[in-house]
Amino acid sequence: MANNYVEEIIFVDDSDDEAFVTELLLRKEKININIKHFTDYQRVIEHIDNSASNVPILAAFDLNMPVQKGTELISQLYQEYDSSKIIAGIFSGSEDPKDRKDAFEAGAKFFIQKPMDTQFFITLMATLPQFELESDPSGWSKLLIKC
Amino acid sequence: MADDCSLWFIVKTIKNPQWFDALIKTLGPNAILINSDLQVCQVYGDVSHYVETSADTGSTDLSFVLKSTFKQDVEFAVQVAHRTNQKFVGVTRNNTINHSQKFKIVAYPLQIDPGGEMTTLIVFEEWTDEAAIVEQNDGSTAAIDALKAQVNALRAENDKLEINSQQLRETNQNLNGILDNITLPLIVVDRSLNITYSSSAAITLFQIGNEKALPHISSCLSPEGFPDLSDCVQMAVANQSVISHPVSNDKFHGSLQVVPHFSTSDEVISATIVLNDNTQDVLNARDELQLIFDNLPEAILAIDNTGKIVKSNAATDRFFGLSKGESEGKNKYDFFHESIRERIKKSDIDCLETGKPEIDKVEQIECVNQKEIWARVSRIPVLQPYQEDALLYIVINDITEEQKAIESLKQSERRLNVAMRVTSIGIWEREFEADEVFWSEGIRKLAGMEKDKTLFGFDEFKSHVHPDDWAKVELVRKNHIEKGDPYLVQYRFRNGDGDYVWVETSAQAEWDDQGSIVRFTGTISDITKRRADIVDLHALNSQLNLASDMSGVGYWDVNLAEGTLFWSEQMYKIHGLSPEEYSPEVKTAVGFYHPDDLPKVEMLIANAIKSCTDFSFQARLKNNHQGYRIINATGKPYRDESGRVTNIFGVFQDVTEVQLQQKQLKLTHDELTRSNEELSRFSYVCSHDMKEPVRMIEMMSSLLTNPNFDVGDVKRKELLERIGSNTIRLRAIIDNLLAFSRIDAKVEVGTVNLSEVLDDIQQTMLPHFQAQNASIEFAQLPKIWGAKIHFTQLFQNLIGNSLKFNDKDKPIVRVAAQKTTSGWLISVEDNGPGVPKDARSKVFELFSRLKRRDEVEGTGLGLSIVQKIVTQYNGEIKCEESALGGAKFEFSISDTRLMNG
Repeated sequence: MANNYVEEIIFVDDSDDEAFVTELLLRKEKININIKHFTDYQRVIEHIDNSASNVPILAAFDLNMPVQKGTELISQLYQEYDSSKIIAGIFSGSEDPKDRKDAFEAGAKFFIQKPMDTQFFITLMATLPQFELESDPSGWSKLLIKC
Repeated sequence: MADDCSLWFIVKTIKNPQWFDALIKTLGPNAILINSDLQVCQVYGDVSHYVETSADTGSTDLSFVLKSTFKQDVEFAVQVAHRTNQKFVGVTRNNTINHSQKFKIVAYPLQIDPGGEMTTLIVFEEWTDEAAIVEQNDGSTAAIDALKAQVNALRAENDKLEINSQQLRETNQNLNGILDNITLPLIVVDRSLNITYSSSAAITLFQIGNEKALPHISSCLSPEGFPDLSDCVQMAVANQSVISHPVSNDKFHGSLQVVPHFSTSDEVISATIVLNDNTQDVLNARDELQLIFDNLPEAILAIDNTGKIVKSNAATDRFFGLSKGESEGKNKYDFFHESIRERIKKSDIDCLETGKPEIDKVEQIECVNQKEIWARVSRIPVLQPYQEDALLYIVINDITEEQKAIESLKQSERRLNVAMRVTSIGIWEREFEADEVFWSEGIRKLAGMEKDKTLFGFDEFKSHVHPDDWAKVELVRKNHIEKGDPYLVQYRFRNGDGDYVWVETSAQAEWDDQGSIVRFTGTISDITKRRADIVDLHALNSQLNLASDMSGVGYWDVNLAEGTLFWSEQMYKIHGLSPEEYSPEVKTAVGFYHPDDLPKVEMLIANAIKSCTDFSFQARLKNNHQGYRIINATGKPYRDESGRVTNIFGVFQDVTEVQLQQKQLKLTHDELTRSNEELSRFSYVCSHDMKEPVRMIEMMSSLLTNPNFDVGDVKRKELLERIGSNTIRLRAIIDNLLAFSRIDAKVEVGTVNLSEVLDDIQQTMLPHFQAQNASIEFAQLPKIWGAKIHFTQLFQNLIGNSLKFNDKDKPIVRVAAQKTTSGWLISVEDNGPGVPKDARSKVFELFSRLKRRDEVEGTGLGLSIVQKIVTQYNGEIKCEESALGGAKFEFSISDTRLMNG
């Protein structure tokens, strides 16, 4: 089993503010991971297809979006790719247990509250043990994935 | 004495002719012997004075031999002597010689041989005149003269008597002529009961014989059925009265009458025997009786002592099941069933032996022809006049029906008595205005009166009636008599213990043909307990009615046997009827059901009767004033002891109001549910969509204010701009939410001219139209009842969306309206991008957006507000594809004056 760094996270949210704030938050929390912000599902597909990564791609979908909800998109995504290619989940402002249940039924691998800060990754590690947050002496952290 | 014994003497001496001649000389000497045929057998002595010598005809017939002057007297003497067998002394005279010359004739009956022919010896003697003897013996001339004068006077008298005698003789001859011609049997006897006259009919009937000499009455032979003539005459003579004796035989029916004749000194001198012939009358009567006998409905038969039927009528034949005339000659007992044969035979024989008739004895008879009857039997023994054995006449009268009626009556009486005892009902009867009243045992027991006495004074009755109730009793009686009202009255009656009990009297007057009241007959029954029960029942009923009134529940009862229907008071109210308007009956009551509900109701009740189970249903029932009402019904069939369903009891409850309330409640409940859901959704989406900008502002502020983190100048500026845009967005959301919530608020309503509304919007939104180079089209729009603010908001949102999402160079918005049956159908369409098919229902949800905020600004509340307004006006809204290429929002508005809120 090799440890690989997760270079980027696909961030699907209709709110540009959310993406902007998240980038600033990750910088503030010293988490070394790039935000790849998408508002259009098609673009997400294209990005995945063009990715040369040998480790699974991590993708977080906002739950409430105007045209299609995050759960619907995850459901569509897993019809095309399996979990070895992509690990998709929901990050949302909702605390409704029903939303959580719907999400897992749709195939989501995680359901974590916004915002995406250190707590998000701690919860991610708790949900998916293959992830690990690794800190270096400078105080910056990197997300590791075991595969 | 010698004369009396002469016959015997003659009989003795006649066997010796010498003695006979000597006797003749002694008796006679001049005599003639005559046989029974009145032929002269022998002449003795000198009879020349008496016999006809001039004309010797050679005949020995007495009437030829004797001189005519003596003939009648001699013949009479011969007949009497012959008949009486006794010496007869008479006087005759020779008129032709000298009228003073008289002769004595003595007739001796002689029987030459014992049992031989009867002969008569006539002895003639010259009559010695007493006066002449006196003249010869007395020598006194004066005396002689005197005597002569007397003699002459006597002669003159004698001549007169002669004349009278002659007249009597002539009368006698006439009488004889009459008597000879009569056909009636008639016999005349003298005081010695010698027959002095006998009519030819009597001679034939009594075989008197044709000899000249008439015999003594005892020699008459009485035919069968006749009494002894001699006995009858002797009885009449002895009693000196007329006797009458019925006589009857097979040829003759009549009566024998003996009439004694009296001399001037009241001595019986003779008697007449007359026979009255009623034969024809008797025969006629017999024919009539036979006719009656044959036609009587009762079986009449005569049997002898062996039971043989000697005579019977047609009814007898019918009774034994035989053809006419068949029963005669048969044995009566053969027709009766073996079991009763001996009993009947014994009764018959007892009656015959005792000779006592047995009248109207009721017997049960069983005949061999299977006929079992009750009969009234009379047995009359009759001794037949010409038969030795008595006959028994039996009359059998079939009284089976009568007996059945009697039995039935007895049974009825017995039942009545039992019924009266069991029910404590007494019977009374009072002849109209009579002082006494009959009381049956029941009343006597109630009143504590003597057991055996049945008649009581009317005052007695009055004393038992409670004084306060007497007027009522009298009034009922009066009304019964005068108006024919029912004689039914309840009053207090003093019983044997002195306590008053409640009784009920029911009576009926009887009127005669003239319309006058004859009597009253009635009953008295103790109703104390019943009355107490009724009082309890009244109380219960009142409570039930009160409960029924308060609950609005009506009850009914169908009596299946009688086909009757009872309705409680509340039932009338449920139907909007009064008891005066409608009398409940099953046939018409079912007509109150709604025609669509009736089959269901009938089926349910029929099943309930069949299975004897409870039933319940809801149905519509016609109310006379309020149309159809909805009722809840529950019911139950009731059975009698035999398990047959006799009654159906049911309860109706008018639930129309309740149903309406429930319906309203459901509507309210649905509305509340919807409102709740909406509120829930509202709060949820509020928390999400409002929280979102707040969260953003909060996070951005936090980044800006964190002393350990420097975002840099560029990012700081961007953060501040983003905080500003989120604040604006938050405000827009708050504004829209306010607008949304205001839809439910009370607003002014009135007629809204939609064209004017559109004009105003066009003016207000003019800058937007101009900026997008857009145009709006709308024709004449209707006027609608409602709040102007609602329709302004509605059109603003729809038109705003049409412009906001439109990506065309020349956006077009078209508003149109068309009339529908219930109101208006209004559409707002555009030539924009339209709404994807699968998102067309979702667009109306709160905070629903089809475009990202960075593409099109919006709160996601616009269409939710539109839908809420349409719903407020009982309408519906839908999203479709427009002919213009974009979206088409079409909504209906009900054209009724709906009040806001």
